[in-house]
Amino acid sequence: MSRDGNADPGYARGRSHVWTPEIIRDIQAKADLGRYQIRGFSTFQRFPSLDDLVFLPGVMTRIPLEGYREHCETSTVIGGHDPAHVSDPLELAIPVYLTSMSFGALGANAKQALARGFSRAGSATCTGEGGMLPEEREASDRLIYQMTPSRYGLDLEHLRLADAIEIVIGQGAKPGTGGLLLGMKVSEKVAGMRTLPVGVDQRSAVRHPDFLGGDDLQVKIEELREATDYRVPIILKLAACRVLEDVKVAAKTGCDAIVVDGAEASTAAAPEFQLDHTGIPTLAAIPAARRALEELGLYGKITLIASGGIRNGVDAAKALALGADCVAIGTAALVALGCNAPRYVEDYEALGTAPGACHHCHTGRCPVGITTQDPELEARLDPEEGARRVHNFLTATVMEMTLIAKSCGKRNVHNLEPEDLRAVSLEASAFTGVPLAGVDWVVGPGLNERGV
Amino acid sequence: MCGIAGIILREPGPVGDHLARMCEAMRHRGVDSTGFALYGEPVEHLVVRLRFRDATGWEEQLETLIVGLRESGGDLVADPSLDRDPRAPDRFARLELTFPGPVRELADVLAGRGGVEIQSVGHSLEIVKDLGDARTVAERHGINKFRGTHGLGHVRLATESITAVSYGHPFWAEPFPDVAIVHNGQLTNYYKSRRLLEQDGYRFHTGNDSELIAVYLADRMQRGQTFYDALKGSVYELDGCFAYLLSTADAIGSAKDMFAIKGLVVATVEEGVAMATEEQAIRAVFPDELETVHPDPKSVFIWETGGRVLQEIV
Amino acid sequence: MSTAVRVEVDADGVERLNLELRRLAAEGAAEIVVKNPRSRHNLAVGQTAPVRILVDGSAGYYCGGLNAGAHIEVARNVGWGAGEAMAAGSLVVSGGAALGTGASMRGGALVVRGNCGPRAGVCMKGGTLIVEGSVGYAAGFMTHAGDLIVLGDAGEALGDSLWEGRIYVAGAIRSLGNDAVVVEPDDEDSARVHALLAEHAIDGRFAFKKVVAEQRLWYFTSRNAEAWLRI
Repeated sequence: MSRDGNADPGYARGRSHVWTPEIIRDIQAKADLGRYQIRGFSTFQRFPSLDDLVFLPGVMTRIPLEGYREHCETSTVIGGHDPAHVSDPLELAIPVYLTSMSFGALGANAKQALARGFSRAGSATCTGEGGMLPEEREASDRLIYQMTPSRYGLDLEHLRLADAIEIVIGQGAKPGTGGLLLGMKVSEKVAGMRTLPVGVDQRSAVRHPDFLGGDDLQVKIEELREATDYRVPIILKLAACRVLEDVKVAAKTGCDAIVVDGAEASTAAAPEFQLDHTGIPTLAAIPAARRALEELGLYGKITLIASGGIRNGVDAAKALALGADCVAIGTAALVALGCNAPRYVEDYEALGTAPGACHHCHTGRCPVGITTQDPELEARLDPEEGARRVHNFLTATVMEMTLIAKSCGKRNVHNLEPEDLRAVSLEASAFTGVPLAGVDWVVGPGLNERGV
Repeated sequence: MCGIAGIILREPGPVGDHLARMCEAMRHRGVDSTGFALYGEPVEHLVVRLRFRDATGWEEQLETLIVGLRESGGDLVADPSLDRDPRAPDRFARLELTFPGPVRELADVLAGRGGVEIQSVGHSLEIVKDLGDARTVAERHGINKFRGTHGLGHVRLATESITAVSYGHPFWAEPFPDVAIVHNGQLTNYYKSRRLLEQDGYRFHTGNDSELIAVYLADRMQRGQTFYDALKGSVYELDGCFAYLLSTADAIGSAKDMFAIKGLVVATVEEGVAMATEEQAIRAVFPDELETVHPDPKSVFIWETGGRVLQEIV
Repeated sequence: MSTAVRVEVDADGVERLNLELRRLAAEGAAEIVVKNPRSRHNLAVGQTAPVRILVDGSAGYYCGGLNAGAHIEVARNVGWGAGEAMAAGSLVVSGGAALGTGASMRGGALVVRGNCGPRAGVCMKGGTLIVEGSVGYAAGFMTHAGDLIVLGDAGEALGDSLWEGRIYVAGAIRSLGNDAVVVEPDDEDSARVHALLAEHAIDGRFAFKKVVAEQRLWYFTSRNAEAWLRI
């Protein structure tokens, strides 16, 4: 049989399912570089997702609310259950805030645009790991100050300017490792805020320098409360891994809120294999986190925030139904700003990519001026226009959430429940404990009966 | 993740009270369960601490167990003392007995029928562990009244394994009488090491990774290592992060992980030596200012009841 | 009011003690003595006024943490993370210090008269950390900037993954960490170390070894593949 004949489709396709073009390219790159590849954006793996769940609006057993007329409440409070330790809980108009993305990963224009957009929607933004950018503090009505293991720019004054403090234990995009910011983005200003040499490939610590477990963290949280006068909530951000156990330990530290960041979460730079092969998907993480809090009798007392691949109001509504009190979004907001938009196409091509497929945040050459520190590229993003787009997107997101909730007969989005959902895949049912559509049968032991 | 405490006195004294207060001072480090390993005056026969999981039917279980003991050639040397807290879902018992065979067989006789957990076996060691914070457990079990030479204490913040009495510390190093451990940290080669040890015939009674330390040390001593050598080996053979304390009939030892992740403070005081995760725990008993030592990573210590101290960075 | 005030540490803990210290400082107290510290955690954290705070004994974790101007003296020992994230002022510990002393501090001066446990000066971003005794495992780990001066010995893995921090050691160095290298101090180094020591009235007539980053881990490029494989 000849190779170029049509008799053997294997030869004709010339393609192995083991040695795929991606794998071949990856090996060639490693052979060139002498290290693993680093990239931005999210996982390229196909995980069972929130798309595998559908809502059950009211039909005969339940009466829907008027989607275009009747009001559905969206206000959300983070850390509102312990007034003795939190005098000023974080009050949001909507259950969607901006996740941590640093100045450094993003340019200053992007940070400002996001801060304005989220503020107009009555929501909050988060500094990310690079310290507090004065422009962001100025532009954000509610700013969450992040404390990461490397403690870049950690400053008492900034802690006291914050509306909440988020202690990062891990991030869903790359659990178990620290941040990464390649030299192209370590500009003079970024380096100054982080006390780094300009242009180095910054690799952050993964462990905090002065607490090493939930037992010590309890003391750390007390320190932060002492330093900030028991004013603002303290949030722990966890990568979704051993969620049931991790959330229990986190809850016992005395924090006010917990973020569970699923494997679909994005980052501006990570070793590629970590994006694709670490952590568990968001839809599996939320029910496990809820169950952890329930088992401790702390469900509804510690605010549960879900993040990682939340793309729109429907995803957010599903996250709330599964047990989250709030969601945090990142990439969706960047896309609203113009990430992967078909402008400056030649610059995408120069990076070897195209609009819609760009994942080159790590290079600092963002064609649309979002994930860059290059003044020329940054100038492509007008903060005011960006803010308008972000605000529009949030408005649409909330409209989706409330319409879903009202169709399910709810006048508050927080009243969505797992019982309002059905799974349309075996995996989604097994991951979430939500029954399969039609047969109302849960794959596996179900959420409430799972043993340890 | 937890708080650990140890104390070794020059003269027999209120070790129970000391350890209870040390644990109470570390309450914030964990309230899931609390436990104590206490060393009293050594006796010829064996002292066994048991827990009946179910408050209903424990009398029958106790009867059966005593019958089994006598059939195997052993006997009680005193009436069992029992915890009769009517609110508790379980019952604790303390037996003094003789047994002609190896301790491992005794363990089979006592716990072989199920429903019973052995907390400790020894000539001087008594382990008491229960759910709740230090004060609750100490009060329920009269820990403060216990007099002896040395002991360990532990407050637990459960991490990956469940909260249950048997999952609490200290862990008895079955089948070695008078050997116990408490641990702060987590082991990352637990499952693999456990499988290997089970293959060699060792039994694990819980899913708590810290139990591995007790079984690991028992295995190394079974193979003829001194417990000092076993401690030293553990620094390299256990992975993860740990600061743990090991107690025997006449000493307490410590070992620390390679990357200095978990803390331990040691203070030599007039009455003896005290060690704990946090200095304030020691000061709950010895309020005066202290001379303290923070053992280095990879370091092992042994403090003997006679006052000798061995230490090394391995 | 410019007086000395005594504050007792409550038997139950430190809750809101630091607010009280700030209030007293704002009212003009020049010196506050914290009595019965009992090795409690979080003593004198988050202070902003240039008040003198004397901790009359040993303190626990994070003593003087997030200090932004107070001059804190601890009569005995401190636990983990003493002076963490300090921006200004000073912390002088007469005894020893445990893990992570001066973690991520940005300014001011931290002096430990005794020994330090593991990772002294970890992630430090400025200021001066002087240890009159010895430092434990991985002192100067990921130190971004500032001066870590050790008059005694240094343990294993000194200066691991250093950025631009400078480490000066008078005693023996058990081993260097990844990417750390010993270089000859020049006259400027000498002058700077002696000046810093003199500020704290410490006799600095020692010869120092200087440890800095070899910079083989600063760049994530193939030319340093070998360096990466060492870890």
